Parts: sequence; structure tokens; C-alpha cells
Amino acid sequence: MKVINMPTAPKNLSKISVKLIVGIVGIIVLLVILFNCWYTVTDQQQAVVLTFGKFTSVEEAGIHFKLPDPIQSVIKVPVQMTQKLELGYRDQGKGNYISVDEESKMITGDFNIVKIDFFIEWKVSDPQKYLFNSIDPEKILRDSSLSAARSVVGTASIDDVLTSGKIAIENEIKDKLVQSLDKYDIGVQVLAVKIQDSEPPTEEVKQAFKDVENAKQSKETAMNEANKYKNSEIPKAQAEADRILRNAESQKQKKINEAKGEVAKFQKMFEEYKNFEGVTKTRLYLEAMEEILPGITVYIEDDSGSIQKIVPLKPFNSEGGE
Amino acid sequence: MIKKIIAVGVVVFALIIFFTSAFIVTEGEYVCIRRFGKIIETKDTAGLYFKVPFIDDKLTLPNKKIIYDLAASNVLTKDKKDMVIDNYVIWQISDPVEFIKSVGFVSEAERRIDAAVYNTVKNTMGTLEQNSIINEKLSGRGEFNKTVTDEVARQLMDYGITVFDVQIKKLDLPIENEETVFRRMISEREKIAEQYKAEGEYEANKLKNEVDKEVNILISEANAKAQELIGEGEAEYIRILADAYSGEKKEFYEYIRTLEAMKKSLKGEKTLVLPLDSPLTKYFYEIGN
Repeated sequence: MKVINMPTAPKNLSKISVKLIVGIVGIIVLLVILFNCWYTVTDQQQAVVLTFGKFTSVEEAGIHFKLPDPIQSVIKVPVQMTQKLELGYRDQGKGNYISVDEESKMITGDFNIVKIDFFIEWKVSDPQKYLFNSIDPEKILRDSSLSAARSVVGTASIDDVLTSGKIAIENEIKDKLVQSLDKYDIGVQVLAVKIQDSEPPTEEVKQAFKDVENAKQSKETAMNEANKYKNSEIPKAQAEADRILRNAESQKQKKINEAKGEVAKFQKMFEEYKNFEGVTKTRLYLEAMEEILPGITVYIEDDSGSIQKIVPLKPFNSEGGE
Repeated sequence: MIKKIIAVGVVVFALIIFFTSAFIVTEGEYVCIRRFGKIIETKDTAGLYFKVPFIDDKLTLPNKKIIYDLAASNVLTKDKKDMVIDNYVIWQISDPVEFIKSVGFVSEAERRIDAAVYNTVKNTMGTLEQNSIINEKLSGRGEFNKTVTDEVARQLMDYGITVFDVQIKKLDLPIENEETVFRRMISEREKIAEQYKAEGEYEANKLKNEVDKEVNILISEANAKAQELIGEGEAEYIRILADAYSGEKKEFYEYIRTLEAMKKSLKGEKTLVLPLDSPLTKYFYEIGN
């Protein structure tokens, strides 16, 4: 029994296993097809549905059914998502940036060289065009942006690029870029162009620009000091002028008072003189002489030219002097 | 059993026929059907199509805009200035039959585009001054791009290629020349800095001088006014005295004024010589009598 059974056993086994394998494979294929019949689209996406490679429809967010591959295929495009394209630098995350000089270095209209880091915010405006109108829309966007930036900076002055003109330059780049992309019609919309950073090309040149800033500051400082000088000197001078005037006014008044005093004194004396003319005159004369003559030798020259000594009131003193 | 095998064989054969004859054209593609090496049909609309199995073969080409980025190259401007220029081209296969006949592959097309753009850019640059090529407002980079695009498009038209745009991506000075530009930028900035400093000094000094002037005017005006006031005082003094000493009072005033003068002038003197007719002498004599 055992000897007969032995060769038939594998025959039965292989029949069973072939059926089993076919069955399992069939189930797997069915499952794959089944799972291939639905897909989900997130809020940020739109799905482009192709039937035998032909564009059929665009589906919004949600769960959708389709015929299995290769009859229908689906390509999801992040339509709602604003994307950022960095030019002249790459954000490495965690605040680290590496600069890409090849992209950032440009010539300005006045033949200076600047480094401009900027970024483009864009999104897919038409998923069908985005997918099928060009091979590499992002590369087109990047190169068009570089081209637009260079042609705008090529008309600007270095001062515009580094300081005051940034917003105008951003707008001009955006306009140019929008024009190019309209022409290419690749389903991409530019939302914003922002200059992240614009600076002189090398450290030495940067230093020279800083020196200009410092010189500007020192000009301000000089003006401030001059103003300080003005604010302190003018009031001082006003005070001095006032002092001079008050002093003069006081001198004037003093002189007038002096006159009044003298006149008052004279008036008194004159009244006395009028009453006792001779006596007063003599008394005044004597008083004066009393004051003058002590210590003085008086000589009088007469007509003949000889000198007569009249007064030594203290003869001994004066004779000693001769 | 044999029937079964034949049935399976038929099904397999039918499947093989189906899969070798059916083909899909996706959006953005051209598919050309070739029979014995000759293109007999071109499909440019997406969808499901059939061809004769084994005999026909198909060629797929992109029906999309393609960007081709040329390598940067050195060119000379009309005024013999060296520049480094980097262009990109947006192109598309417009006639796949012509394209396959005359070019064959995308890579070969790019080689030809490269040559056409390089030569056209070089020639066109040679007719322009460096000034006008950098500064768009002076002559127009837009104009330059258009000239180059038109010329390149004309040259490639026969290859079934449409050129949409040839753009300058980058236009730089050669590295060797950059140093010179940097040095010039630095010297320009130094000049500006110097100017600010000089302006600062000038304006500050001007303001200080103005202040000094105002101060001097204030003080001198005050002094003038002061002199006037003092003069008024003197005048008033004279007037008051003159009024007081007029008429009958005159003689008495002269008398006491003489005494006052004597007191003041003779104080401290040791000797005094008087002529006989001096009023003082008269008084001496008067007292003697």
C-alpha cells in the first residue's frame, strides 16, 4: 500500500496547491484592483483624473471612486498650497541659511555688484496646465525669476537696491515674472516676490557702505552740537544784552539824579548866598583855602616877570625846600 | 484536454494581440506610429488607440514646453568688454514628424538649440555696447531677448521646433573684472563718506557762525542802545544844571565851581605859580586886603 500510494500523493498535492495558488493570486489581484478603485484628496489638493491618458476631470477634496489602472489614473496636485521658492539662499531650517552666490550676485544699472536674496511665493493656478503644458514648471519658474530679477536690478541704482527702492524692485520683478509666465502658460501663479536681503558683495565693500552710514551719523552729530551751541549761546547773549541795557538805564537815571542832587544843593547854597552875599562868599573861599593851601607853596608872577612868593603859610617847610 | 489547451492558447494569444496593439497616449505626449521605419500616423490627442501588432512600433515624444538651460559662456561686447552670459530657452516640439526626421531625439535637439543660441547670442552681443546690454533702460535687454528669440526660432523652425523664448538668466562680469568693480565701489563709497563728513563740518560751522553773528548783533545793539541811554542821561544832566545855573545864579555858580576846581586840581601839589591876572591871584590878593 505504501509503495503504491507514494507516487500518487504528490500528484494530488500539486493539483490542490496549483488551485490554491491561482485562487490566492486571483484574490490578491482582485484586492489590488479594488483598492485601486478609490482615492482621497486632501484640502490642499486637487486631483486630475485621466481616462486612458486623456484628461477627464478635476476632483476636489474628499473620497472618490475611479476605474482601476490602467483605465483611469489620478494625479494629485497641491493646488491650494502656497509654495516658496528661494533664490540666492537656501533655508536649512533652524535659522541656518546657506547662500548661493551664483543666484544672488547681480549687476546694477550703475555698474555695481550686489547680492540679493529673495523668494517667490507661488501656487498652482491650473493643475491641468501645470501637469501637461511643461516638463519642469518649477525649473521654468526659477529661471524666469532669476531672469526677471536681473533685468530689473539692471535698471536700478545700487542705492535703490540696498535701501529705498526695494518695494518698487519687488513689484517690477513680479510684473516681469507674471508676464513671462502668462506667455509660457504653465498653470503657475506668482503671489508675491519678496527681497529677503540685499547687501554689498564682499566684506570690504560692506565695510565701505558702513563707513558711509557712520559718516552720515557724524554729520548728524556735528549738526546736533551746532544746535546745542545755538541753544546755549543765544540766550546767554540775550541775557548779556539785557544786562548792558539795564546798566545803561541805571547810569542814565544816576546821572539825572546827580544833576537833581547838585541843583538842590546849589539851590540851598544860592538862597544862603542871596541872603548874606559877602559873608557867604568869603566863608566859602576860606573853607576852600583851608583845604587847599596846607603843604603848598604859591608863587605869583608879576608884570615884570619876577616871582613873588606869597604863601608859605608854613614858611619853614617851604624854605627848607628851596 | 486538447480543446482546453487550445482554448487557453487562443485566450493567451488574444491577450497578447490586445496588449501589443492597444496603446495609451497621455496628455502632453505625441505618439508616432512607425511601419517599417516610416511614420504613418501621429497621435497628439490623449486617449486609447490601436496599432498593428508586431509590424508597427511607436515613438513617444513630449508635447510640452521644455526648458533648456545653457551653460554659462564668455562673450565679447561691441566695446570689447568681456561678459559671462547664461541663457535658458523655452521650446516645444511643434511638428513631431519633421522633428523625428531631422533631429530624432530631445537630447540632439538640445545640442542644436545650444549651438543656435550660443552663436546668435555671441553675434548679437557683438553689436551692443556693454552699457546698453546691462542697463535695460538704455537700450533694452527685452529687445535683445526678442532679437535672439526670433533668430533662434527662425533657425530651428525647419526641425519642427517652436522656440517660445530665449532669456538671459544671468549676465555677469568675469570674475577677474569683479575685483576692479569692488575697488571702484569702495572708492565711490569713500568719496560719499568724505562728502558727508565735509558737509557735516560745513553745516555745523555755518550754524555756529550764524549764532556768533546773532550774538554779536545782540550785544552791539544793546551797547548802542546803552550809549544812547547814557547820552540821554548826560543830556538831561546838562539841561537840569543849565536851567539851574542860568541868570542871576550864574555868577555864584562860577564862583563856587572855581573853588571846587581848585580843591580838586591843587590837592597834593607842592608848589603853585600863578600869573598876576589869574582869577585865583585876585582872590589871594583879596584876602590879603
